[in-house]
Amino acid sequence: MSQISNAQNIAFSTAFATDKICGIYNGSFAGTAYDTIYAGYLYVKKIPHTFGRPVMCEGLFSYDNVNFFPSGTGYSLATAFCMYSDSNFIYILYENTINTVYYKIVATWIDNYDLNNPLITPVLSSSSNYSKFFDSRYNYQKVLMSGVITLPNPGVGVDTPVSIEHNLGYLPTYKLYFESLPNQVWQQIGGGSQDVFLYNPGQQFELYDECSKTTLDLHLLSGASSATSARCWYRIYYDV
Amino acid sequence: MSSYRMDKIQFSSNLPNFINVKNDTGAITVSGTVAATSTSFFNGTITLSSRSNFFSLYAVSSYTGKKYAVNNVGSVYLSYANASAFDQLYVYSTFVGNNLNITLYVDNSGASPVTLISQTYTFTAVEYQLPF
Repeated sequence: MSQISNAQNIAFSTAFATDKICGIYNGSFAGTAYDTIYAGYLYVKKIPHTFGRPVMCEGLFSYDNVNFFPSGTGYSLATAFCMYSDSNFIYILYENTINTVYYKIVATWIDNYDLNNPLITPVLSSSSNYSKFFDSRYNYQKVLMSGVITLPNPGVGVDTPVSIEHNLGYLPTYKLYFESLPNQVWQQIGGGSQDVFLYNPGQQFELYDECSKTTLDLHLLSGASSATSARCWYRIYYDV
Repeated sequence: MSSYRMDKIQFSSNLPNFINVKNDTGAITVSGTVAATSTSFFNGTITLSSRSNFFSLYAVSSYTGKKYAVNNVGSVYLSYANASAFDQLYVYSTFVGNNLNITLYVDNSGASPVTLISQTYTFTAVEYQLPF
């Protein structure tokens, strides 16, 4: 373990990994130019990728290319976006087809997704902003712990939390991705009937979390026909 | 662009990385009683430094002392009415300029009023950026 006690004050330490960004996608599309519709109301735009396995995705979205907001289900429905990926595509889910959608998507690599870690060529934006990737004046986000945990299907209406010990003594920041459906890596979703992105509640899992100073507890909720288990990938960051 | 075994990398100056910018905070206090078949709303605001940064939104409950990821979940499981049980507290946000207006709401579909455990949720938006 690192001898550094103040890593927040340095840009980078080899003791800590960073999020491994393997893809950056900028672009726009007309809201009406969707590729498919889920459950009759949820529009889906597919962005192809070449990694041959799912990646963790998060995005910034905008209707005016100025004011962006992050993907996630906790926003008003007119402006909410959610994302997941499989082995070939990144999927953008949305409800509002009226406007042009501007997006900035970041895909990060999942180590040991299938115990086969191939050589890949990262896909980065052609923007001239990418002339420099490291600047020691900045504090780069440092990953303290990361991994995968397999959560068994608890059964409908049953809540059986599973704990990941971090023992940090403080409340860290973290990110969670999981298989809401098999072989798809989703951003965390939950909210039952009030979550528009839970378009197939009979088969999808929902994931909730609560983090104490010693553990990150995961609550997987099941649909009637959900898979026997779901993998959850977690990243716990050094900074709070 | 070179090819990489990403699992072998801690950090590469050939790849972009997230930069921590700043943390922004706000608070919402939840208390009172939710009447039968009614919904109670509680509001708060966080001012962000930019509308072009990524951010992760978390809430810490003064009652449980625990942190919950918020912006990727349409609801969080918090103990708001019964100290021994999880209940579903819904959350959503809207932007006005750089202000992120957060609404928590309790939907009581039951036939009896629900008395809430008085507690304050401290929200933190952890802003980070990429050179987009």
